Amino acid sequence: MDFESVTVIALAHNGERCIRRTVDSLVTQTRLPERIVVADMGSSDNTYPVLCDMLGLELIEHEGKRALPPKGEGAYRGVPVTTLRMPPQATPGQCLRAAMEIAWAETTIFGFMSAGAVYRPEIIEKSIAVLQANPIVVAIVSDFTVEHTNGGEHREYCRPFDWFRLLGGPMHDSNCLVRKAAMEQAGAAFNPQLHHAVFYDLFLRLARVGIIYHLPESLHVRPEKKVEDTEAVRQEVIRVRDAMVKGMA
Amino acid sequence: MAGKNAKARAQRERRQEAARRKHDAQEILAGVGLDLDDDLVGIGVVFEHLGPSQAVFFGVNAINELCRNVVGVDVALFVEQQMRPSVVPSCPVFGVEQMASWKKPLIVTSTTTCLAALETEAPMVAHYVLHPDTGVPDFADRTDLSIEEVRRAFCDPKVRVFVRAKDYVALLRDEFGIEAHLVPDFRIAEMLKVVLPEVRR
Repeated sequence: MDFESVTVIALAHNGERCIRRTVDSLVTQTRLPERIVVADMGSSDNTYPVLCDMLGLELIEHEGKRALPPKGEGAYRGVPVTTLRMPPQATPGQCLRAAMEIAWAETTIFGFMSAGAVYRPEIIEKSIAVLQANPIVVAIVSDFTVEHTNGGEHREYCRPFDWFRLLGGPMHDSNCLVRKAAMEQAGAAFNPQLHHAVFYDLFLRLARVGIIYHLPESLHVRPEKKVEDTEAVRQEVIRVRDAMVKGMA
Repeated sequence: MAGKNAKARAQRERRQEAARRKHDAQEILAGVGLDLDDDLVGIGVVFEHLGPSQAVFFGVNAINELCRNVVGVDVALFVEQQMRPSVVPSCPVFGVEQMASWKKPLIVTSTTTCLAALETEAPMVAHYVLHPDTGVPDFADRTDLSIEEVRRAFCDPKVRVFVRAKDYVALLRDEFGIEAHLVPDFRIAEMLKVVLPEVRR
């Protein structure tokens, strides 16, 4: 029994095929989240209709046309779920901020999970156990398994992150549970101007206020993903890191 | 008569108390692989820094507990980058340059600190692997370590590898043929149980 209130935020972009299994894995957790918020980042496929279908949301009249509501609330297998449709030009930072605002008041721990990944049933329970045992821990990350397109898979062994390691290079997975209080302490939660290194930017700030704990177990499976614009990502990572180091000097 | 009995009882209680204390002390020392007849031993622990990190949090807390509970083990910390500690250690802290003249066993917490420790006269280096960092370069996560250096940090005859998860024991054994001891959460006493008897031999 814990006294935390967990809100899981999942960002979805063109994930009509896997969004259902992601939400399924979240509602079968051994410790259920109090709320799930799924923000659709301007998908061009049927991601948002699939989400609305899962919640049983109906078409609404808008300016003489019938369309899906831009925001909907419902319950999926007994867990409250909120869906949010963001415009295609919205950055990940803006989407995450909008999703967090929905449950800001009631939440003590935010879980950030990518729509597309499948979570092991114990990920939230194990993360909360560490957060409760160690007040200095501000965020939890874990190892994960990558599913290849040819059916194979491999285990990724992540690093425990601290300030110096993060300066050496960013993490490659943004699935984490973060204390809300730590996010407040670390300043603005997400930078709405960033397109790629939004979690790297957050982790750099979190590493200054507490420990980012790494669970040495594979607690989620995610599909293989190619980074489309490697150079743009690299440049943004370097820009975020330099800005942070300059700010500390 | 009554006074004589009381004196004998007091003596017996004193002897029992002494035996109990000796037994407790033996148990505590056995927890780190030592015996009451052993000399004072020294151990160095090398961190990259003492800022907020998982290694520092678990490492320094375990060291503080060891200092509090075990008499007979002297711990010294060596730090690559001097900064204000996130967990205040109750043992002396030195810069890593002071390690050159260190002749006692060392516990290291990363590949780079392991390579630095291998340059000293330490008879044994316990490499605590917080994560199996094989030093493979990535698009934004470059490392300057060559594969020979990484191999040395894991396979040098002076090195004993410790990991914190059973998955990591399997990974190192099955993929790289490296035998590792499982020690969760930087429990330094469990590491000493392996290191100290071997150094003594």
